[in-house]
Amino acid sequence: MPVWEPQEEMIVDSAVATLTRHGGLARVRDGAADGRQTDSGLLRTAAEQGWIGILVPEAFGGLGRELRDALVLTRTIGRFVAPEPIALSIATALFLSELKGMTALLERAISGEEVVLAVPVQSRADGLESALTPGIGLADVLIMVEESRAIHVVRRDDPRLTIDAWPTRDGGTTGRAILAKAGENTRQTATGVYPASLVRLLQASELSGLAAEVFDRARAHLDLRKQFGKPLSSFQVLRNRSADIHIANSAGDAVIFEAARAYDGQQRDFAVRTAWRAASLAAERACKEAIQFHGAMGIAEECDIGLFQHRFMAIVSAQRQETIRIVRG
Amino acid sequence: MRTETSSERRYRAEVRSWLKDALPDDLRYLAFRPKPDKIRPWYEALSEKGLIAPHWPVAEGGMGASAVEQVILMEELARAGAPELPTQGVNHIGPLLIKRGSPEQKRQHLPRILSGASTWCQGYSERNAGSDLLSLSTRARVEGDRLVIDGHKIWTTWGHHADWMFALVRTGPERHKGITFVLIDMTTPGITRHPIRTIAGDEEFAEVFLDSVEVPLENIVGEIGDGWSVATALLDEERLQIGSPLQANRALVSLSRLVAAMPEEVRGDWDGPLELSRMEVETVTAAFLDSSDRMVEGCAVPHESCYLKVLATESTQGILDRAQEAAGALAGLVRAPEIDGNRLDVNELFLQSRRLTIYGGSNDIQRNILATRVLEMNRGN
Repeated sequence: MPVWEPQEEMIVDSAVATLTRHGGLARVRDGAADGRQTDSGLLRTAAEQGWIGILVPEAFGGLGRELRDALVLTRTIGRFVAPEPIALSIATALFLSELKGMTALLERAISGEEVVLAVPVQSRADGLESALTPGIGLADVLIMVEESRAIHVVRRDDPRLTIDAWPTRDGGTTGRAILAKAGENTRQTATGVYPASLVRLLQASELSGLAAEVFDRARAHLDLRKQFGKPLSSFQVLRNRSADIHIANSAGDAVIFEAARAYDGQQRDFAVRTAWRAASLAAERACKEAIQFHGAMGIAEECDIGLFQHRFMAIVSAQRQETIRIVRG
Repeated sequence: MRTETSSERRYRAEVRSWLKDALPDDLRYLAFRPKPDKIRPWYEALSEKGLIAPHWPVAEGGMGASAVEQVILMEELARAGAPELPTQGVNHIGPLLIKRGSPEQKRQHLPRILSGASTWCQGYSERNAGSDLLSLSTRARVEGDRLVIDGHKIWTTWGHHADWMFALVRTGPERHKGITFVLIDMTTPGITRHPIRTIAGDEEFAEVFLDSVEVPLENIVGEIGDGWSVATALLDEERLQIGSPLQANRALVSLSRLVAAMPEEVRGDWDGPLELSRMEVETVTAAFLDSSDRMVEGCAVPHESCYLKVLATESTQGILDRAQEAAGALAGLVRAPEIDGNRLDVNELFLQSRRLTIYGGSNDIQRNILATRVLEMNRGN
């Protein structure tokens, strides 16, 4: 685990306070239990806190912080398994700040006035279609980025826009945006490359926070729960497996922050892939083992441990290819 | 992976260029540590270049190198195929004497460790004291101005080649306080040593018998009965070296050479495993740099570097598992194939790597320490 600077400690404290005030895990649990879709409330609060504009230069109204600070933030968010697309919103804001003609939209995005999300899109015969993107249904404005680097700014109420959304296991949603007749009346205001690496690195850090939290909870359980008159944490097999989780989590943290140091260099994409791999393997191990350590309680819906597995699945699956095409309905 | 500063880039270029000319061809890409007469000129060359002890303070003759510079040196040594050096001097007893040795001990030994004039071995393990090192039974009694030692040590890396041994001996019955740390001249009468042949075919270890071996009391480091505290004073720093990315980089170079030698039509199949191996090496490197930072900043928790040892050694084994597979039908050969005029001892490398998770405190023990000391898990006592 890197040594936090004082301002990074402040980010952690502020994020914990904000997310706790928003209901912590109970909010996620309640939303998932009664089928309620996530709304944009937390995203707007995140903007008010300056989170969405954390990487945006101060000249554009952002906080102008280092990438490392944003990773500290998303790592903390990961501890609360919030299903909102905060990482994507942060990456979108930075992306907007690097484009010409987007100042007004950027201001609205980082102030929380509007939820703005960038999505990669592909050309279809009848228009443009996005990849499945978590939280897309919350967007007021979509920035559709073609592989050719052409960018389309599309408002939610644009009659040509259809968003198909489906609930995800973590209490959030994912969905696909389809822009019909993309060539008509679409103002291509800029060109740019979809910030896939940044989204992925921010989410790797989110996974890292998730893994740390689920492991803390599993360790507390191992200390508390007794079998054969002894705490579970005294059993060698569980101690060794706990050490393995610790090793994976520590390595994940280290490589994420190393990737931040590599981010402006030639090895950016490889560094992000490396960080993503380490973080996702660590989180996968931590979630599975936490369920196993909890025994039968681990598979009960009322046990909070399952929420971490749910969020892990949502984050990781969003980074995978859509091997089987989902259809509306 | 990180973007190097201009001075780091210069340092890398300088090291690479120097290695290109200075490293003899017959020492490149060897599976085994060359014997003393063969390795000594190379050790001396590194020493003269000032590269032998990057992590030592400048005041003691080291480079005072940053963790990044240390990694650059490891990567370049691996890339050039530089052989493994005897490291008990520079990585273990040297730093320990810097911290706990008497002025005379430092004067006598540090320059000779740096120059390669003396080679060291570590006399810790015994037949019934491996993971449970505190059970060691080699006894020492004070007679006048001498310590007289009787017992044996085993799994002593380079014990049959070393000029000096730093050893733990029992001077009293108390489990911790009955142990003394002593420096033993290996030419002292009463010492017998036998090499142990490993499953990889090399003679890396030895068994050392000590029969009424007389050692001057001034060869004790610290006080009598203070040996456990001396031996463990630099545990985390030592684990940092054991958990460094050097071996993982060497393994990656071996795998890369194998893949490069494949026919073009199958080489592409190995892009994925190669990238995965590179990722593992970079993960070990990131962990090493992170742990170094934490140590320098003084915020490392005691024993936390145990995780590095497990991560680095098991990653190295994983990469060499892939090399074994990449070698295909050649993997079982006794006599290694040559690639570009250099041997590639595929199965020797694989077999040799089995020891990584055993020596220096087995990985099972490291996991136990992590659970107890770092995670503070209940032992049920």
